[in-house]
Amino acid sequence: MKIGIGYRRELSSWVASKPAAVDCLEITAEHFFHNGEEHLAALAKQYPLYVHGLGLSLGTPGALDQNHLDKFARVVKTANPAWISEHVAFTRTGEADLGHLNPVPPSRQMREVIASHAQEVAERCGKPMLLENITSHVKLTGDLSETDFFNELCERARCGMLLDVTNLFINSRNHHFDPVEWLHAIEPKHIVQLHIVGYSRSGERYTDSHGAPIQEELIALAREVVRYAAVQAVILERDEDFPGIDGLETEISKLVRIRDGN
Amino acid sequence: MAWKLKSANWCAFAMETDFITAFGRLLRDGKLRDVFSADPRAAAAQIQLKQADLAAWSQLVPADVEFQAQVLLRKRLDLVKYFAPETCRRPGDGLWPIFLKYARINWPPEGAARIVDAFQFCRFLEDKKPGATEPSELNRLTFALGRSRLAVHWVNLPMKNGNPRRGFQIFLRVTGDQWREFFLYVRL
Repeated sequence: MKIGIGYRRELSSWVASKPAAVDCLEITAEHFFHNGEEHLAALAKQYPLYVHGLGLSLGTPGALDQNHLDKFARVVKTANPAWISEHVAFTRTGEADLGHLNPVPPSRQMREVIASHAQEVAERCGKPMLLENITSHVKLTGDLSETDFFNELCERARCGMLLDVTNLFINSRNHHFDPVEWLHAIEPKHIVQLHIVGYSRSGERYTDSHGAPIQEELIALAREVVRYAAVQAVILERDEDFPGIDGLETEISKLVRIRDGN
Repeated sequence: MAWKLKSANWCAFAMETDFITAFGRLLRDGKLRDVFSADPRAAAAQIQLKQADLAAWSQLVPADVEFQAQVLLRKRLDLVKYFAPETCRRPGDGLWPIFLKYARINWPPEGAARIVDAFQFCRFLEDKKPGATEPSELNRLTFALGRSRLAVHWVNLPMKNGNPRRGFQIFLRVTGDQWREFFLYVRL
Protein backbone atom coordinates (compact mmCIF):
# COMPACT_ATOMS: atom_id res chain seq x y z
CA MET A 1 0.00 0.00 0.00
CA LYS A 2 1.41 3.36 -1.05
CA ILE A 3 1.37 6.37 1.25
CA GLY A 4 0.98 9.83 -0.18
CA ILE A 5 -0.31 13.33 0.17
CA GLY A 6 -2.56 15.61 -1.80
CA TYR A 7 -0.18 18.00 -3.53
CA ARG A 8 -0.76 21.68 -2.71
CA ARG A 9 1.38 24.70 -3.62
CA GLU A 10 2.11 25.26 0.10
CA LEU A 11 3.76 21.82 0.25
CA SER A 12 5.98 22.24 -2.80
CA SER A 13 9.35 22.67 -1.07
CA TRP A 14 8.68 19.84 1.38
CA VAL A 15 7.54 17.53 -1.43
CA ALA A 16 10.61 18.47 -3.50
CA SER A 17 12.80 17.28 -0.60
CA LYS A 18 11.44 13.75 -1.20
CA PRO A 19 10.29 12.88 2.36
CA ALA A 20 11.15 9.25 3.05
CA ALA A 21 7.66 8.01 3.89
CA VAL A 22 5.90 9.66 0.95
CA ASP A 23 5.57 7.17 -1.91
CA CYS A 24 3.17 9.04 -4.16
CA LEU A 25 1.21 12.25 -4.72
CA GLU A 26 -2.36 12.98 -5.60
CA ILE A 27 -2.77 16.12 -7.66
CA THR A 28 -6.00 18.06 -8.10
CA ALA A 29 -6.69 18.37 -11.81
CA GLU A 30 -8.32 21.80 -11.56
CA HIS A 31 -5.18 23.28 -9.96
CA PHE A 32 -3.38 22.69 -13.28
CA PHE A 33 -6.09 23.80 -15.71
CA HIS A 34 -4.64 27.21 -16.50
CA ASN A 35 -0.92 26.82 -15.90
CA GLY A 36 1.71 24.62 -14.25
CA GLU A 37 2.02 21.97 -16.95
CA GLU A 38 5.82 21.95 -16.75
CA HIS A 39 5.69 21.73 -12.98
CA LEU A 40 3.25 18.84 -13.23
CA ALA A 41 5.53 17.04 -15.68
CA ALA A 42 8.41 17.49 -13.23
CA LEU A 43 6.31 16.07 -10.38
CA ALA A 44 5.43 13.09 -12.55
CA LYS A 45 9.13 12.33 -12.92
CA GLN A 46 9.63 12.45 -9.14
CA TYR A 47 6.58 10.54 -7.91
CA PRO A 48 3.83 8.20 -9.04
CA LEU A 49 0.80 10.49 -9.38
CA TYR A 50 -2.96 10.08 -9.09
CA VAL A 51 -5.25 12.69 -10.62
CA HIS A 52 -8.25 13.78 -8.58
CA GLY A 53 -11.09 15.92 -9.92
CA LEU A 54 -13.33 18.39 -8.15
CA GLY A 55 -15.56 19.81 -10.82
CA LEU A 56 -16.63 17.24 -13.40
CA SER A 57 -20.02 17.21 -11.67
CA LEU A 58 -20.77 13.60 -12.52
CA GLY A 59 -24.20 13.83 -10.86
CA THR A 60 -25.56 16.57 -13.11
CA PRO A 61 -28.06 15.02 -15.55
CA GLY A 62 -27.28 15.68 -19.21
CA ALA A 63 -23.98 15.99 -21.00
CA LEU A 64 -20.70 16.51 -19.17
CA ASP A 65 -19.08 19.92 -19.53
CA GLN A 66 -16.80 19.11 -22.47
CA ASN A 67 -14.56 22.11 -21.86
CA HIS A 68 -13.91 20.91 -18.32
CA LEU A 69 -13.39 17.36 -19.52
CA ASP A 70 -10.90 18.53 -22.17
CA LYS A 71 -8.83 20.31 -19.52
CA PHE A 72 -9.09 17.33 -17.17
CA ALA A 73 -7.90 14.97 -19.93
CA ARG A 74 -4.93 17.25 -20.70
CA VAL A 75 -3.83 17.15 -17.07
CA VAL A 76 -4.18 13.36 -17.04
CA LYS A 77 -2.05 13.07 -20.16
CA THR A 78 0.74 15.07 -18.54
CA ALA A 79 0.54 13.35 -15.15
CA ASN A 80 0.12 9.82 -16.56
CA PRO A 81 -1.45 8.50 -13.32
CA ALA A 82 -2.22 4.91 -12.43
CA TRP A 83 -5.85 6.00 -12.00
CA ILE A 84 -8.08 9.05 -11.86
CA SER A 85 -10.86 9.90 -9.44
CA GLU A 86 -13.88 12.15 -8.98
CA HIS A 87 -16.69 12.57 -6.48
CA VAL A 88 -20.14 11.07 -6.43
CA ALA A 89 -21.71 14.50 -6.34
CA PHE A 90 -22.82 17.48 -8.36
CA THR A 91 -21.19 20.89 -8.33
CA ARG A 92 -23.38 22.59 -10.88
CA THR A 93 -26.82 22.37 -12.39
CA GLY A 94 -28.01 23.46 -15.81
CA GLU A 95 -28.54 26.88 -14.23
CA ALA A 96 -25.56 27.64 -12.05
CA ASP A 97 -22.16 26.64 -10.76
CA LEU A 98 -22.54 25.92 -7.06
CA GLY A 99 -18.79 25.94 -6.50
CA HIS A 100 -18.67 22.91 -4.22
CA LEU A 101 -19.69 19.28 -3.90
CA ASN A 102 -23.31 18.48 -3.18
CA PRO A 103 -24.95 15.10 -2.57
CA VAL A 104 -27.01 13.12 -5.04
CA PRO A 105 -29.94 10.84 -4.18
CA PRO A 106 -29.02 7.13 -4.04
CA SER A 107 -31.42 6.16 -6.79
CA ARG A 108 -31.30 3.88 -9.80
CA GLN A 109 -31.79 6.89 -12.05
CA MET A 110 -28.79 8.69 -10.51
CA ARG A 111 -26.73 5.48 -10.67
CA GLU A 112 -27.22 5.49 -14.43
CA VAL A 113 -26.35 9.19 -14.76
CA ILE A 114 -23.09 8.85 -12.81
CA ALA A 115 -22.10 5.49 -14.30
CA SER A 116 -22.47 6.88 -17.80
CA HIS A 117 -20.47 10.00 -16.98
CA ALA A 118 -17.74 8.05 -15.18
CA GLN A 119 -17.36 5.71 -18.14
CA GLU A 120 -17.10 8.68 -20.48
CA VAL A 121 -14.35 10.26 -18.36
CA ALA A 122 -12.44 6.98 -18.04
CA GLU A 123 -12.62 6.32 -21.77
CA ARG A 124 -11.64 9.85 -22.67
CA CYS A 125 -8.62 9.75 -20.34
CA GLY A 126 -7.71 6.13 -20.99
CA LYS A 127 -7.35 5.48 -17.27
CA PRO A 128 -9.24 3.50 -14.63
CA MET A 129 -11.60 5.65 -12.60
CA LEU A 130 -12.39 5.71 -8.87
CA LEU A 131 -15.49 7.28 -7.36
CA GLU A 132 -15.39 8.99 -4.00
CA ASN A 133 -17.99 9.32 -1.25
CA ILE A 134 -18.55 12.89 -0.09
CA THR A 135 -19.69 14.40 3.16
CA SER A 136 -23.05 16.12 3.23
CA HIS A 137 -25.18 17.78 5.84
CA VAL A 138 -28.28 16.80 3.90
CA LYS A 139 -29.34 13.17 3.90
CA LEU A 140 -30.93 12.35 0.57
CA THR A 141 -33.09 9.32 -0.01
CA GLY A 142 -33.68 7.26 -3.10
CA ASP A 143 -34.80 3.79 -4.09
CA LEU A 144 -31.44 2.28 -3.05
CA SER A 145 -29.50 2.25 0.20
CA GLU A 146 -26.34 4.33 0.00
CA THR A 147 -24.12 1.24 0.11
CA ASP A 148 -26.12 -0.62 -2.55
CA PHE A 149 -25.90 2.56 -4.63
CA PHE A 150 -22.09 2.55 -4.41
CA ASN A 151 -21.80 -1.19 -5.07
CA GLU A 152 -24.06 -1.03 -8.11
CA LEU A 153 -22.44 2.16 -9.33
CA CYS A 154 -18.97 0.61 -9.24
CA GLU A 155 -20.25 -2.43 -11.12
CA ARG A 156 -22.13 -0.42 -13.76
CA ALA A 157 -19.36 2.12 -14.32
CA ARG A 158 -16.60 -0.49 -14.06
CA CYS A 159 -14.98 1.81 -11.51
CA GLY A 160 -13.29 1.37 -8.18
CA MET A 161 -14.06 3.30 -5.02
CA LEU A 162 -12.01 6.01 -3.40
CA LEU A 163 -13.21 5.70 0.18
CA ASP A 164 -12.83 8.95 2.09
CA VAL A 165 -12.55 7.67 5.63
CA THR A 166 -13.08 11.12 7.10
CA ASN A 167 -16.23 11.70 5.07
CA LEU A 168 -17.60 8.33 6.14
CA PHE A 169 -16.86 9.13 9.78
CA ILE A 170 -18.39 12.64 9.56
CA ASN A 171 -21.54 11.38 7.86
CA SER A 172 -21.88 8.60 10.43
CA ARG A 173 -21.80 11.15 13.24
CA ASN A 174 -24.10 13.69 11.60
CA HIS A 175 -26.60 11.12 10.31
CA HIS A 176 -26.31 8.65 13.19
CA PHE A 177 -25.20 5.34 11.68
CA ASP A 178 -22.41 2.86 12.34
CA PRO A 179 -19.51 3.52 9.92
CA VAL A 180 -18.13 -0.02 10.27
CA GLU A 181 -21.49 -1.52 9.40
CA TRP A 182 -21.62 0.83 6.38
CA LEU A 183 -18.11 -0.23 5.39
CA HIS A 184 -18.96 -3.92 5.57
CA ALA A 185 -21.93 -3.36 3.27
CA ILE A 186 -19.53 -2.19 0.56
CA GLU A 187 -17.98 -4.94 -1.57
CA PRO A 188 -14.30 -4.99 -0.50
CA LYS A 189 -13.16 -5.54 -4.10
CA HIS A 190 -14.34 -2.01 -4.96
CA ILE A 191 -12.17 -0.14 -2.45
CA VAL A 192 -8.89 0.90 -4.06
CA GLN A 193 -7.77 4.14 -2.42
CA LEU A 194 -8.38 6.06 0.81
CA HIS A 195 -8.48 9.73 1.69
CA ILE A 196 -7.98 10.85 5.26
CA VAL A 197 -7.59 14.12 7.17
CA GLY A 198 -8.76 15.33 10.56
CA TYR A 199 -12.38 16.38 10.99
CA SER A 200 -13.59 19.60 12.60
CA ARG A 201 -16.65 20.53 14.65
CA SER A 202 -19.11 23.37 14.21
CA GLY A 203 -21.48 23.26 17.15
CA GLU A 204 -23.17 19.85 17.12
CA ARG A 205 -22.07 19.12 13.58
CA TYR A 206 -18.95 17.43 12.31
CA THR A 207 -17.41 19.13 9.29
CA ASP A 208 -14.62 18.47 6.79
CA SER A 209 -12.49 21.59 6.92
CA HIS A 210 -9.45 19.63 5.70
CA GLY A 211 -7.37 21.58 8.17
CA ALA A 212 -7.03 19.43 11.28
CA PRO A 213 -4.66 16.66 12.43
CA ILE A 214 -5.99 13.11 12.00
CA GLN A 215 -7.80 11.99 15.14
CA GLU A 216 -7.40 8.54 16.72
CA GLU A 217 -10.95 7.41 15.89
CA LEU A 218 -10.20 8.07 12.21
CA ILE A 219 -7.04 6.00 12.42
CA ALA A 220 -9.06 3.17 13.98
CA LEU A 221 -11.66 3.35 11.19
CA ALA A 222 -8.98 3.49 8.48
CA ARG A 223 -7.29 0.42 9.98
CA GLU A 224 -10.61 -1.38 9.80
CA VAL A 225 -10.84 -0.48 6.11
CA VAL A 226 -7.30 -1.72 5.48
CA ARG A 227 -8.09 -5.01 7.23
CA TYR A 228 -11.27 -5.34 5.18
CA ALA A 229 -10.11 -4.39 1.68
CA ALA A 230 -6.96 -4.58 -0.42
CA VAL A 231 -6.31 -0.83 -0.35
CA GLN A 232 -3.59 0.26 -2.77
CA ALA A 233 -2.98 3.82 -1.60
CA VAL A 234 -3.84 6.13 1.26
CA ILE A 235 -3.62 9.89 0.75
CA LEU A 236 -3.45 12.63 3.36
CA GLU A 237 -5.86 15.28 2.08
CA ARG A 238 -4.86 18.46 3.89
CA ASP A 239 -6.00 21.75 2.33
CA GLU A 240 -5.73 24.33 5.10
CA ASP A 241 -3.72 25.27 8.18
CA PHE A 242 -0.68 23.43 6.92
CA PRO A 243 1.64 22.43 9.75
CA GLY A 244 5.42 22.71 9.55
CA ILE A 245 7.64 19.87 8.44
CA ASP A 246 7.47 18.15 11.82
CA GLY A 247 3.69 18.36 11.77
CA LEU A 248 3.50 16.98 8.24
CA GLU A 249 5.80 14.11 9.15
CA THR A 250 3.65 13.36 12.18
CA GLU A 251 0.57 13.20 9.96
CA ILE A 252 2.32 10.94 7.46
CA SER A 253 3.47 8.69 10.31
CA LYS A 254 -0.22 8.17 11.15
CA LEU A 255 -0.71 6.84 7.62
CA VAL A 256 2.21 4.49 8.19
CA ARG A 257 0.46 3.27 11.37
CA ILE A 258 -2.70 2.65 9.34
CA ARG A 259 -0.75 0.63 6.79
CA ASP A 260 1.31 -1.31 9.31
CA GLY A 261 -1.50 -1.80 11.83
CA ASN A 262 0.50 -0.63 14.83
CA MET B 1 -39.62 17.71 9.37
CA ALA B 2 -42.09 15.48 7.54
CA TRP B 3 -45.03 16.40 5.36
CA LYS B 4 -47.36 14.64 2.98
CA LEU B 5 -48.92 15.63 -0.28
CA LYS B 6 -52.63 16.35 0.10
CA SER B 7 -53.31 15.05 -3.38
CA ALA B 8 -51.74 14.87 -6.78
CA ASN B 9 -54.01 17.67 -8.05
CA TRP B 10 -52.11 20.57 -6.58
CA CYS B 11 -49.13 19.76 -8.70
CA ALA B 12 -50.93 18.43 -11.74
CA PHE B 13 -49.66 21.03 -14.12
CA ALA B 14 -46.23 21.92 -15.46
CA MET B 15 -44.03 19.90 -13.07
CA GLU B 16 -40.80 19.97 -15.01
CA THR B 17 -37.80 20.78 -12.84
CA ASP B 18 -35.66 17.73 -12.07
CA PHE B 19 -34.45 17.05 -8.53
CA ILE B 20 -30.81 18.11 -9.02
CA THR B 21 -31.81 21.42 -10.61
CA ALA B 22 -34.39 22.00 -7.88
CA PHE B 23 -32.00 21.08 -5.07
CA GLY B 24 -29.37 23.34 -6.62
CA ARG B 25 -31.84 26.21 -6.65
CA LEU B 26 -32.72 25.54 -3.04
CA LEU B 27 -29.05 25.65 -2.05
CA ARG B 28 -28.32 28.96 -3.79
CA ASP B 29 -31.53 30.86 -3.19
CA GLY B 30 -32.09 31.96 0.41
CA LYS B 31 -35.59 33.25 -0.33
CA LEU B 32 -36.60 29.88 -1.75
CA ARG B 33 -35.21 28.22 1.39
CA ASP B 34 -37.38 30.52 3.47
CA VAL B 35 -40.41 29.39 1.49
CA PHE B 36 -39.27 25.76 1.81
CA SER B 37 -38.87 26.03 5.59
CA ALA B 38 -42.38 27.39 5.95
CA ASP B 39 -44.04 25.11 3.39
CA PRO B 40 -42.08 22.60 1.29
CA ARG B 41 -45.10 22.05 -0.97
CA ALA B 42 -45.26 25.71 -1.83
CA ALA B 43 -41.54 25.69 -2.66
CA ALA B 44 -42.01 22.61 -4.87
CA ALA B 45 -44.90 24.29 -6.66
CA GLN B 46 -42.94 27.51 -7.07
CA ILE B 47 -40.15 25.77 -8.94
CA GLN B 48 -42.40 23.30 -10.74
CA LEU B 49 -40.65 20.23 -9.41
CA LYS B 50 -41.18 16.97 -11.31
CA GLN B 51 -43.77 14.83 -9.58
CA ALA B 52 -41.42 11.81 -9.59
CA ASP B 53 -38.98 13.78 -7.45
CA LEU B 54 -41.48 14.91 -4.82
CA ALA B 55 -40.72 11.97 -2.54
CA ALA B 56 -37.01 12.83 -2.32
CA TRP B 57 -37.88 16.53 -1.93
CA SER B 58 -40.22 15.72 0.93
CA GLN B 59 -37.40 14.06 2.85
CA LEU B 60 -35.21 17.18 2.91
CA VAL B 61 -34.81 18.68 6.36
CA PRO B 62 -34.82 22.51 6.24
CA ALA B 63 -32.14 22.92 8.93
CA ASP B 64 -29.83 20.52 7.07
CA VAL B 65 -30.47 22.28 3.76
CA GLU B 66 -29.64 25.62 5.38
CA PHE B 67 -26.40 24.20 6.81
CA GLN B 68 -25.40 22.73 3.45
CA ALA B 69 -26.20 26.08 1.80
CA GLN B 70 -23.96 27.84 4.31
CA VAL B 71 -21.13 25.44 3.45
CA LEU B 72 -21.42 26.71 -0.14
CA LEU B 73 -21.54 30.31 1.06
CA ARG B 74 -18.39 29.80 3.15
CA LYS B 75 -16.62 28.52 0.02
CA ARG B 76 -17.82 31.58 -1.87
CA LEU B 77 -16.58 33.88 0.87
CA ASP B 78 -13.16 32.19 0.77
CA LEU B 79 -12.94 33.11 -2.91
CA VAL B 80 -14.13 36.66 -2.32
CA LYS B 81 -11.43 36.97 0.35
CA TYR B 82 -8.86 35.80 -2.18
CA PHE B 83 -9.81 38.60 -4.58
CA ALA B 84 -10.49 41.31 -1.99
CA PRO B 85 -8.45 40.45 1.12
CA GLU B 86 -8.20 43.92 2.65
CA THR B 87 -11.87 44.68 2.05
CA CYS B 88 -12.77 41.42 3.79
CA ARG B 89 -10.37 42.03 6.68
CA ARG B 90 -11.82 45.40 7.65
CA PRO B 91 -15.28 44.30 8.91
CA GLY B 92 -13.62 41.78 11.29
CA ASP B 93 -16.25 39.52 12.89
CA GLY B 94 -18.92 41.46 11.03
CA LEU B 95 -17.83 40.07 7.67
CA TRP B 96 -19.84 36.84 7.77
CA PRO B 97 -23.20 38.46 8.67
CA ILE B 98 -22.71 41.11 5.95
CA PHE B 99 -21.70 38.48 3.42
CA LEU B 100 -24.72 36.34 4.34
CA LYS B 101 -27.02 39.29 3.74
CA TYR B 102 -25.48 39.77 0.31
CA ALA B 103 -24.99 36.17 -0.75
CA ARG B 104 -28.24 34.52 0.41
CA ILE B 105 -30.11 36.22 -2.39
CA ASN B 106 -27.36 36.83 -4.97
CA TRP B 107 -25.65 34.08 -6.90
CA PRO B 108 -23.02 35.06 -9.46
CA PRO B 109 -23.55 34.06 -13.08
CA GLU B 110 -21.33 31.45 -14.71
CA GLY B 111 -18.22 32.53 -16.53
CA ALA B 112 -16.09 34.88 -14.45
CA ALA B 113 -18.29 33.99 -11.47
CA ARG B 114 -15.65 34.35 -8.77
CA ILE B 115 -14.52 37.80 -9.82
CA VAL B 116 -18.10 38.93 -10.41
CA ASP B 117 -18.99 37.70 -6.93
CA ALA B 118 -16.09 39.60 -5.33
CA PHE B 119 -16.97 42.73 -7.32
CA GLN B 120 -20.66 42.56 -6.45
CA PHE B 121 -19.91 41.99 -2.78
CA CYS B 122 -17.57 45.00 -2.71
CA ARG B 123 -20.31 47.13 -4.30
CA PHE B 124 -22.86 45.78 -1.82
CA LEU B 125 -20.54 46.54 1.08
CA GLU B 126 -19.75 50.01 -0.24
CA ASP B 127 -23.46 50.67 -0.56
CA LYS B 128 -24.11 49.63 3.04
CA LYS B 129 -20.96 51.11 4.53
CA PRO B 130 -19.42 53.80 2.36
CA GLY B 131 -15.64 53.71 2.58
CA ALA B 132 -15.56 50.08 3.75
CA THR B 133 -13.97 48.72 0.59
CA GLU B 134 -10.31 49.01 -0.28
CA PRO B 135 -10.27 51.20 -3.44
CA SER B 136 -7.25 49.47 -5.00
CA GLU B 137 -9.07 46.12 -4.79
CA LEU B 138 -12.24 47.52 -6.30
CA ASN B 139 -10.14 49.08 -9.09
CA ARG B 140 -8.57 45.68 -9.77
CA LEU B 141 -11.91 43.88 -9.92
CA THR B 142 -13.44 46.60 -12.10
CA PHE B 143 -10.56 46.36 -14.56
CA ALA B 144 -10.64 42.55 -14.59
CA LEU B 145 -14.31 42.58 -15.54
CA GLY B 146 -14.04 45.39 -18.07
CA ARG B 147 -12.52 45.72 -21.51
CA SER B 148 -10.36 48.80 -21.09
CA ARG B 149 -6.82 48.49 -22.41
CA LEU B 150 -5.40 50.81 -19.77
CA ALA B 151 -6.45 52.24 -16.42
CA VAL B 152 -4.56 54.48 -14.01
CA HIS B 153 -5.64 55.29 -10.45
CA TRP B 154 -4.15 57.52 -7.75
CA VAL B 155 -4.46 55.46 -4.56
CA ASN B 156 -3.01 54.46 -1.23
CA LEU B 157 -0.79 51.56 -2.14
CA PRO B 158 0.00 48.45 -0.14
CA MET B 159 1.98 49.37 2.92
CA LYS B 160 5.70 48.87 2.95
CA ASN B 161 7.50 48.63 6.30
CA GLY B 162 4.26 49.69 7.95
CA ASN B 163 4.21 53.09 6.24
CA PRO B 164 1.25 53.97 4.01
CA ARG B 165 2.34 55.13 0.58
CA ARG B 166 0.59 56.99 -2.21
CA GLY B 167 1.10 56.34 -5.86
CA PHE B 168 -0.31 55.16 -9.15
CA GLN B 169 -2.00 51.81 -9.65
CA ILE B 170 -1.74 50.98 -13.33
CA PHE B 171 -3.51 48.24 -15.25
CA LEU B 172 -2.59 47.17 -18.74
CA ARG B 173 -4.58 44.61 -20.72
CA VAL B 174 -2.49 42.21 -22.80
CA THR B 175 -5.30 40.20 -24.37
CA GLY B 176 -8.99 39.70 -23.56
CA ASP B 177 -8.68 38.30 -20.07
CA GLN B 178 -4.93 38.68 -19.56
CA TRP B 179 -3.72 41.86 -17.92
CA ARG B 180 -0.91 43.19 -15.78
CA GLU B 181 -0.90 45.44 -12.75
CA PHE B 182 1.89 47.86 -11.81
CA PHE B 183 2.48 50.15 -8.87
CA LEU B 184 4.30 53.41 -9.33
CA TYR B 185 5.23 54.83 -5.96
CA VAL B 186 5.58 58.57 -5.62
CA ARG B 187 8.09 60.08 -3.24
CA LEU B 188 6.35 62.96 -1.44
